[in-house]
Amino acid sequence: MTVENIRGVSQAAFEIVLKAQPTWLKDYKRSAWDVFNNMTLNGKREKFSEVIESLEIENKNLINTLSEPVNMEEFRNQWGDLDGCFVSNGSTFLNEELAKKGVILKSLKLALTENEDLVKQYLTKNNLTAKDSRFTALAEALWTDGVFMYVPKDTEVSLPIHLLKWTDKGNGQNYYKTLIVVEEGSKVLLIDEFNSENTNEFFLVDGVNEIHVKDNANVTYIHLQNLDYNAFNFSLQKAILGKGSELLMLSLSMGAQFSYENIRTYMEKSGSNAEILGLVIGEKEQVFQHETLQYHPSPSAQSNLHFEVMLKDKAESAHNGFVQIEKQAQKTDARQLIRNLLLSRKAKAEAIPNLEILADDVKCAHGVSLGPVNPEELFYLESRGFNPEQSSNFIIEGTIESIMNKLAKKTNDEDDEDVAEENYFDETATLATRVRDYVLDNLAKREVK
Amino acid sequence: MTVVQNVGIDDYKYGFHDSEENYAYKAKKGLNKEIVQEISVKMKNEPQWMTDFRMKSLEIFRSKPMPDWGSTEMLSDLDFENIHYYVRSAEKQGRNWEDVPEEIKKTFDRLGIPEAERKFLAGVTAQYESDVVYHSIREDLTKLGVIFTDMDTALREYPDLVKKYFGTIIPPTDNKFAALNSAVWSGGSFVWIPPGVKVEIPLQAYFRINTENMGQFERTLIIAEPGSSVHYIEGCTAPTYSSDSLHSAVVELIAMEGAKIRYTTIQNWSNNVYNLVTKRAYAYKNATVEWIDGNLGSKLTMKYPAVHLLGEGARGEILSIAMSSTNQHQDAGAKIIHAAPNTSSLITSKSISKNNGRGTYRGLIKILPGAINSKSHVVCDALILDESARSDTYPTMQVEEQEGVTVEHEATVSKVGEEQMFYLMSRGLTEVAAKTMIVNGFVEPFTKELPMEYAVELNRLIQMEMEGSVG
Repeated sequence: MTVENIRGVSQAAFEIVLKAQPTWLKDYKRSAWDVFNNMTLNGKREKFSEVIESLEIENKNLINTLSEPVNMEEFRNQWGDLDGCFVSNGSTFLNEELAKKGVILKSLKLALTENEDLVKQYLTKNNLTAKDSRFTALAEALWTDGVFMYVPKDTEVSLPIHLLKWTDKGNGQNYYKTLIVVEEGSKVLLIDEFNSENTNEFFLVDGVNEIHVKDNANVTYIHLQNLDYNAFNFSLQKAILGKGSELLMLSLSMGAQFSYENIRTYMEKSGSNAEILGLVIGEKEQVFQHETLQYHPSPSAQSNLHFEVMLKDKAESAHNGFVQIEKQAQKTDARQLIRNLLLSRKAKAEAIPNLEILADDVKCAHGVSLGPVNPEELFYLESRGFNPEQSSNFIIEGTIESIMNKLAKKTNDEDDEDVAEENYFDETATLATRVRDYVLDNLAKREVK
Repeated sequence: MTVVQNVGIDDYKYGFHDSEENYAYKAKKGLNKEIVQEISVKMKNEPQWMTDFRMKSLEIFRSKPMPDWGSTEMLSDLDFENIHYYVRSAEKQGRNWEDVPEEIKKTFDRLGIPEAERKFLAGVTAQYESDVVYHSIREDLTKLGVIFTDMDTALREYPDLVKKYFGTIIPPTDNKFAALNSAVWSGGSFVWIPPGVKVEIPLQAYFRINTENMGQFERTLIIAEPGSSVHYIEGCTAPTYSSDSLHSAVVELIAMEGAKIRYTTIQNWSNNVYNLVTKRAYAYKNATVEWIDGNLGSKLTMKYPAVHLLGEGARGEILSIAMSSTNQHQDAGAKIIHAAPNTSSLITSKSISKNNGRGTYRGLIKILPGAINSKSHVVCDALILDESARSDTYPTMQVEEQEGVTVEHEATVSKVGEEQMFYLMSRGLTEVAAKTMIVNGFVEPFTKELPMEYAVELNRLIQMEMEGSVG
């Protein structure tokens, strides 16, 4: 890490970051920095401004503390056999066969020099998504490293790829960028895990995760946020979908004291299909803010968002969801479902599902529910001898299961004929089981603490 | 099947305007302390507290910024200095229809007001420009103690009642347009229903703007004492001018314990009117407030009727339709605040957009801590009739209480089904007639809540709108 012993976010800090970058990247970084400086806290977008201010970003060391856990084997093993793994200190493993075929998995910093031509086209000013939130702009301006993954045309990565971003040090500011490019007709399954332990002091994790799903490509992206209670997490998950491509995405938010997730799916080309699943499990005084966008500029695309939010203790959640359908995007099918389960009297939830529709031949629907556990379900469980605590845990497990079924369901929906297809969907089903176990194990660990 | 007449969309039936030569008073354009002073002291001879209230409101209006959301472009075209804030058409108000000046009487005859009154209304108020020109109430209601009068008369005759409630539900600080209304208000209705009295037939008010660049700022206050009930209906029209007029009303409702208020609006302003209205109700224990809100006209409407459920068991219901056509933006919605246990609310919103019209639903449901066992259900349906129309939905739901609370929201957006059209047209209906029938079916949950005459009129208005939309 080149930037050390610098506190806070300042022009001087930015200049030092900028100095270490290749010349062609400087424009990109500068425009992100300008956006950051010209933006004010937007009440709607960053509504928990008091919480954000309590992070005292200006007193944190501008130092990236992401590294590799000692018990890396444990982290890796929970996902079974893998085709690749990348850890935030740069250590990488990739199936040799895939490497021969041209698949790339490496640190973004390395890719900036080793794969300049490839990454350059995705790191241009036009491609910058900085205007959504100050923290997105900040991440784009200050990242010095991250992950780059590239899957060339017509390549199938059959086993999952595991990306782990991990730390055990507080008092840091971790900016990163994940750039994933999946070329035409290729398939990949990614687990992007954010984890931390024993950090003791407040710290910031702020990053941009960008996925380019080219024509007819097929991507499963599992984003797991399980940082410890000292973390303030900001993340942008942005996917750009090509013609006839498919994206299956799950975003899990269960960690951090404050977590802002901005999930944007751009249905750039016709016939693309996105399934966006979300699980939010909060306790204590955790605060979650989600902003989602399903953007439809092209005809005949489908997007389907389904979020399950479960809040215990004094946890809070706010979800601002947008479906935007442009004039030329006829035959769009866009759906949005946000369900909020309040498991304690002190929990709070807010949901704003917005629709902006400029086309006329569309199917568009949204639904929101907010409330406690259905008293009938509770009565049923309690009449069978479970105490309220156990009963509500059952309900949580059931809800997690319902999302995992959706994640795995692709298997049943497709009547695939060739074996390769089948294998892939078997992997999705296996993965769904693993993700469920991951969530339940980590919830259990949380209980013990 | 009714034969569909060949009237185009531009044939806004109420677009005519009358001569202004016999007008008693017309304030100069623009807004300043002198104008407010003149309205309050010179024209209306109001008590000091009201003059003070107006002056303070003017300051608040000046200090508040314009909304930075919604149709900011249309709002920025609004020129507050190019508006007549007070126009008096007649020297005095008529009790008998014969007393109303000929010109105005002709207008209301053309609008069908006395006719409607004879048929089914318990009382009528007709407001022309800034003042109420005609007012009547059935004698039996007066005997029961019901007060139904215009707000200016109420301020003179029932000063204590007015002073007690005026501006308590919607203070001038609420928003820029509420402040403007508070500064320059004129006319509107004052209704007081004594305890236990149930007014079975509706009270009606009719609002008409005639002058170009006119601002109409009526102020309505309805108080339903414990156990009483009332249904109030208002309709609005204006001539079509090339420059814009402003209608900015404030409507405050108070439903005491066990009372019921239903407030129905059929807004059919011509499409050069800015309709920026604040409507809010307080519902106490076991009271019910219903807003039935139909928006067909205006250039820009921004209106979000609200019910604050303040007592246990209170109920709020908002049922609305909005039809946005050429160059129109209907930015309408509903707000419910659940502030007491066992309260319930239901919002049903139907929006239709066509040509380059834009229909927006903007809503808020809030469950405050302690409002246990509160239930809320919101349904928003939108129908888009052609590819240049636009439909938006911006609902906000905030839940801060969990015990026994359910909040549900659902919305769908669709176009007129091809199968439906095929089915109807194969039975000999023209495209226009088929589409009209589908739209009428779509808004049926709304029309069936209206008195028959209004329902017929609404269906006819929709039919007229539809004529222009096909072919």
